Amino acid sequence: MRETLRAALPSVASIITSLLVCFIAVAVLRGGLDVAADAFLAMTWGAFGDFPKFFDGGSSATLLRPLGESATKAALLTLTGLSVAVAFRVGLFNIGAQGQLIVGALAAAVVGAGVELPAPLHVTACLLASALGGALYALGPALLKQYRGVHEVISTIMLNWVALSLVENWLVTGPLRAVTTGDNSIAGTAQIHETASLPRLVGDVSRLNAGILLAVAAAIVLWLWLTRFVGGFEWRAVGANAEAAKSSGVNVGRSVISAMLVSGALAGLAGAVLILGTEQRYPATIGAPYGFDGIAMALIGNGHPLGVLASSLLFGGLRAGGTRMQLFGVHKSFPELIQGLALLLVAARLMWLKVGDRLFKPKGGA
Amino acid sequence: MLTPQESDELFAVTRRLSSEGLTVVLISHKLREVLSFATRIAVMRRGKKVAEVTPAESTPSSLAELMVGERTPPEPPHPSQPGAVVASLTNVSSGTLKDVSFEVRAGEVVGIAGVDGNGQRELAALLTGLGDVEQGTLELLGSARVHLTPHEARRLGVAHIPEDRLHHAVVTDFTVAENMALGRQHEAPFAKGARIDFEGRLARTVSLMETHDVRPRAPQLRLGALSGGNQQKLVVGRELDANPKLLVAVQPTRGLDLAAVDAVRRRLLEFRAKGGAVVLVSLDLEEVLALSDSVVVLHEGRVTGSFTRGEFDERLIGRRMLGVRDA
Repeated sequence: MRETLRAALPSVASIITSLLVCFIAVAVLRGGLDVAADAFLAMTWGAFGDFPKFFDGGSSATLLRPLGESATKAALLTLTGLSVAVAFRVGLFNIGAQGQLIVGALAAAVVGAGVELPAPLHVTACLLASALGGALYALGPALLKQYRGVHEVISTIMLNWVALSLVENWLVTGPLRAVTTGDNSIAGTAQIHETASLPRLVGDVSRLNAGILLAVAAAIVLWLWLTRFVGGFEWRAVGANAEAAKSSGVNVGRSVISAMLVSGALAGLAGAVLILGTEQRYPATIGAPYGFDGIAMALIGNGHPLGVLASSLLFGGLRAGGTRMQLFGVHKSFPELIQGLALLLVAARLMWLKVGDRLFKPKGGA
Repeated sequence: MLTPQESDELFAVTRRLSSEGLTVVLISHKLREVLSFATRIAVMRRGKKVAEVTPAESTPSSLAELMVGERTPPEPPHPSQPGAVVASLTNVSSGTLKDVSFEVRAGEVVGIAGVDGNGQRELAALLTGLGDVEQGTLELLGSARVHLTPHEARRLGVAHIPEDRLHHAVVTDFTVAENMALGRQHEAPFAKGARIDFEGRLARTVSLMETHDVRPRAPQLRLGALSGGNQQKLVVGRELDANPKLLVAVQPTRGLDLAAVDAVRRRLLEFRAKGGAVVLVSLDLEEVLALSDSVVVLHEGRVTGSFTRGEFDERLIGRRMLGVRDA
């Protein structure tokens, strides 16, 4: 327990420091502490539910609508964050979550629009297609790494561009572009069938959909696998000391490849959640770089599935709430600044651990 | 390691530097290099300068004698009762190992003597499944496989105390308990089916820590927080706990304090007394002679001598280690 708290300390301290620094920056640049306080409160209500309005007699939508937006963003961050984190655990740096997400998103859009199935089956088929697409897209770098020694950072970065060009510059604008009717010109692929949409959890009040449930489930399953199962133990051994793992009879190659497949599948699922939950088609372009945000979530979450989930819930919320800061003259991308600063600070892990060890010295410690 | 050509070049350059008035200090255990290069030779043994000679008055065997010293080998622990053949190598080549043949029997310690880098590492790798036989046959516990994985070697009953503990034997960021499961992570008491058996693992870890007097007795502590001696006691304890038939121990006491050295040596001899076979690779000739029932000497990957207890002759073994033919 003590070790767990110690491991979480750098992340928590970094987030708090980052929030404080950003708060002071707003206060200085926008005319005072009260403005900063108002802006941060607006962001908080926008992120986790507008409680003042609710207690003033507002409808449940004042809570559910912001929560829906936050959960939608958090689901995507969680899945891509888990994707990067699971690769970290076997010692790989998967920069390719964005590419795997694009492939997964396309798979969901194609199966969602091109196949007709009853509702629960159709969603499942789309999710499976996306997971498979993402996994296969990650298989190349995994094999290259294992058998040819090609560094995964290089191969996955390059494959990001391959995915982007193939999907957005060719397939989506070319062969897979939606058939236009009348004068309407639709960018992107055809709309998916309703049976393929991720079910909304609270009706039309909020965009809250089943994506967040999927993300939470993925985090819990991954956490159990890494901590409770021998296979997960072997993955962690490979990541922490591949030579010792090999001497201990662990099949290092198999661990690396299977972890990379899971990593790709998770990024692919993020693509599915984006299409089936929000976009309903593969749009002309996926603007948001969720795959890259996943790297930040994995690092801030210290590679721990539940840490990734926690930081994704927080930053998903802040991002959704950030739009409300515009009323106070703060740009809506401000939460990304908070995230970036937290990421920068969490890189100084050892510094935080030293500070923590000095503050909470264990009695009789070595 | 340099190739002979590279070292010739290096020596040509240093020789030129010394002729230009520069002082060169060469630290080497290669007699040929020292004799051909130096103008004065200081011989070190166990941290002390034991002699200062010139190349003109020295021969390879006189230098070897100075390096190894004249000590009577320690008494044998007790006579061994060798049993069935556990491992046998016939004309095995692999990497720097060339045409190596010897046998290891149950209940005996076979010491591998040699100067560092003369094929010991390759030999240990072969026996533990980390290296492949290129030529010849290796019969290990009844199996004569060319490609053996570390997992298969462990299943056959081979345990391994690697030379570099931190790189090959333990994960310092794991807890002591997690480290005790390494190598047997799929077996009871460390696993129940596909799941980790936390209770079984903890109980076994606590009992190992007690048996081997590992301190502090904190199974959930990061292994890296323990001293080197305590880490090594855990590695030895873990490897012997698997009830192996053959233990490959490479430099098992390197860098340990004297108490830990004694503890580790005692464990190896206990294992031998119970009928275990040990291949002991050590750069410390004194250790090899103290513990082994027979000694195989490696030089440049070849067996340059083999001796059984009773015919141990430190000076002769020292010369064989340095590749010197009979004087």
